[in-house]
Amino acid sequence: MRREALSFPALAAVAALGLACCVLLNAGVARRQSWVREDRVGIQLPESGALESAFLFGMGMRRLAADLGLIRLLLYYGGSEDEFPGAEAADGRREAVEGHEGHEGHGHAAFDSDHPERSFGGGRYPLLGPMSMRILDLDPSYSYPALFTAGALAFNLNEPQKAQWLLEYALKRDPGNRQYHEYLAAVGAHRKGTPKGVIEILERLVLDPECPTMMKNLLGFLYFKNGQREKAIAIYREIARDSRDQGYRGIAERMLRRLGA
Amino acid sequence: MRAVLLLALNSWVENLRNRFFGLVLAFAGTVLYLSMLLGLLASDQEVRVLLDFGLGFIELMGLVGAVYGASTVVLREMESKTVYMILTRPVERSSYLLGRYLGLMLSVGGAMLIMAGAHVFMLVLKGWAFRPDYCWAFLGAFLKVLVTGSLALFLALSTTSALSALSITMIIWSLGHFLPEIRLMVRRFGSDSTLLMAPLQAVSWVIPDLQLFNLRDRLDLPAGLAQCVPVGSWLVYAAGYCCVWLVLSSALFKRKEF
Repeated sequence: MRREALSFPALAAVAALGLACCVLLNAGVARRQSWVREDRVGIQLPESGALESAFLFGMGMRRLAADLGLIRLLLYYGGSEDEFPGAEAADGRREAVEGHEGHEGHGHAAFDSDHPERSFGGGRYPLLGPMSMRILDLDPSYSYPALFTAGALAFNLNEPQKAQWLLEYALKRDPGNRQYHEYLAAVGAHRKGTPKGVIEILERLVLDPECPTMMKNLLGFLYFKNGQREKAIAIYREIARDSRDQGYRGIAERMLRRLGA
Repeated sequence: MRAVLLLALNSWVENLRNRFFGLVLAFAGTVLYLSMLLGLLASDQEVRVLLDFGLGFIELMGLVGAVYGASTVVLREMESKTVYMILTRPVERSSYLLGRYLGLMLSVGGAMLIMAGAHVFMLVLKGWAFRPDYCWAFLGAFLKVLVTGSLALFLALSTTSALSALSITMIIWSLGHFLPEIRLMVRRFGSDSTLLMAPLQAVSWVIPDLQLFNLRDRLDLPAGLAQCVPVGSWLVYAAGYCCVWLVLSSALFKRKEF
């Protein structure tokens, strides 16, 4: 077989030249990453999911890791809190969200679609905040889980203080996010016991296409409670027509029947 | 050049005949099935989850195809002696290598395009409005695969073991995604612990920065930033790296005795 000879020194020279090219390319690219959003807080991963997250980071799948976190969060909040693995052995984040006061479980029933007015404040779901913080650690620009969780904590689980902590944590990671400020205002109005103030803020929030259906449902309920029938019907119709959440679509349809629409 | 094109075309046809497109069909089925499951699980965020899973799968499939192909194609032909059939003709060894590499990447690119077509179709069915970011994210994924494929080819020739080449390539793939963090570490601790940081610094100079192409992980960039995707830099960087590894592979291949 004909061999196109290449001496060892020549091979070494080619290798050195190749490495020099790599160094030049990397030096050039290191200066051109200004378009990448910098994570201001830094990655913080609890022990429980560190391996999975490190694997997904190594594969360049940060968003996917956050998506998996969201699915877990939704499964947790959508099911019985006692059955969720790890609910008893929560990580250090749990204390961070539960704060200094601590709290007792409310022991309320889960969301009752036929009688929503009886259901807000149901359950305790102590891992909801930590799970949401973990998603923020994975993908600081992903606001949906923080908004969803803050809404659930403040309005469904009667834990507005925790909702505020979570939103403040989210704001540290993404200070320019206007929605976090709006949610903080809504939670503040809720704490003051001014439903009209909450409604005014929620009316602005639900205009955002990324607004969690849960918040739209809450606005519908507040309209219903305040006797604003037409507005309640409009928002429940929107949920029944557009929402991807089968559960909330069902609630909206039942509420529409109750409202005679 | 004609020899390179002929070899590339030949490689592409060979790849079409093997299991490559079976994988594509399997992917299409997986996407369909996942979309149904994710629809149930992710509620409001169904489209985002479907977008991320799909793009991630496309890249992974491309990576697996490219790395496996690049690690085995030349070694297999050397073992089965079919390489004689080509190299006894007036074909340069570097042309042979380049032809094989281009043929493989053509197959991988084609398969990724088909998968992306099925993925976009699924997303549009779910109510997603097409965004040009998707094309950039796809291009970024393909460039990553191109660079990694050339690296796998070099490693296969230098280690002469497909398994070693596969393993080292996967390690470099992971490190390539951590490169911004590695650079940060070197910047932060480099002055205090120079000796400890020296190997890390050397790594950060040599391995490809795959996070550079990873627009898939930043699809929610504000509109202003999304328009600044440095496609020109991407192309120069990817072409530069591919050239480096292919030239080194060619130099190694020229020293091989058959």
